[in-house]
Amino acid sequence: MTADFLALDMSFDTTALIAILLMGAVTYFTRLGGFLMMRWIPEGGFVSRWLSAIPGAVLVAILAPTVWNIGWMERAGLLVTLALSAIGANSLVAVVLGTAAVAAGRALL
Amino acid sequence: METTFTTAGLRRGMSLIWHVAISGFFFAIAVGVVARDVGMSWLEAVVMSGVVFAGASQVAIIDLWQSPLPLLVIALTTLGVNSRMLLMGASMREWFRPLKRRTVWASFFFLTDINWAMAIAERRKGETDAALLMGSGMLLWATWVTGTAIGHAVGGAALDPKALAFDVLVPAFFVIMIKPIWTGRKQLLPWATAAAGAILADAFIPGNAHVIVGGIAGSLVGGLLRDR
Repeated sequence: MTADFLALDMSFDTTALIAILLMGAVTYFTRLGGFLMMRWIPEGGFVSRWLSAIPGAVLVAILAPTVWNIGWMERAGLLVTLALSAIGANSLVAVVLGTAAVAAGRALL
Repeated sequence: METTFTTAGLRRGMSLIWHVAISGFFFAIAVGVVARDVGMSWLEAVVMSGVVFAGASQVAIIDLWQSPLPLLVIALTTLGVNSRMLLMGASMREWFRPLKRRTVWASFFFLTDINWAMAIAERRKGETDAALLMGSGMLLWATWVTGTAIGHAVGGAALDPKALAFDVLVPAFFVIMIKPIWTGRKQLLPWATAAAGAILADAFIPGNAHVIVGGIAGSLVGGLLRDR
């Protein structure tokens, strides 16, 4: 490593600052907006059932393409985690053992 | 169900998420490396991570980061990639509604996929303390900004976390949320719809649309099903 390893580039372009602030504002809107918008949507019936269905649907939607695209070894690792959590094992143990299974598999194969 | 907000909850949020913060840290290092490659200054990259704090969108705009910066396209891409969080926020209505406005506004700055899933899973187990979201998010934010700073400073010399299977750590953490969120067979159809929608969107729609497509499709099916 040379000395310029620590020479951090402290320059800041004006347009870059605008871009970053725009991204920040848009992102904060997506974080807060869903919660605030619910103020105008009536409760009960369909809305309650829809809201209580969101966590599962979003969780599955996050995971499904990953599970679809990864290799069999990674799927097996996630299955280890799922099985351990289903039988009531500690979450951290389930995550670590599932991940460790993949690391071990990669080292061996 | 009751709602509380305590400093003990902030701390517990941190302790529930620290192992995810480790892999988030490595992801942030990668983001810092890529930001440097496209010519972002160290300060710009660090400020972006602090202000935006949303990895998928920060990666998505990397290809757009060229002079002159296409501000509108950058804003729209960010909106598209992060719109999934609208759904997550909506699902928090029952829990966060009793809180003061400034507590809510501060808490939601720290909402990310992973601590939302963690918090909602805890809520399903009977958690009252809404500070879990903010505490876990604060730790994720700190490691995210630090990781970006280190990644940009070190550049391509950063280590390869794949050998340690850090790429599996994040999906594994989502997997352990399945059990607390699963409430029974009534969810099979909504979940299958969400999975199919997400896989199709991932294959055919660019820009990380799979979460919002699958999430909307699956939750609407869940809403339409009677007597759950």
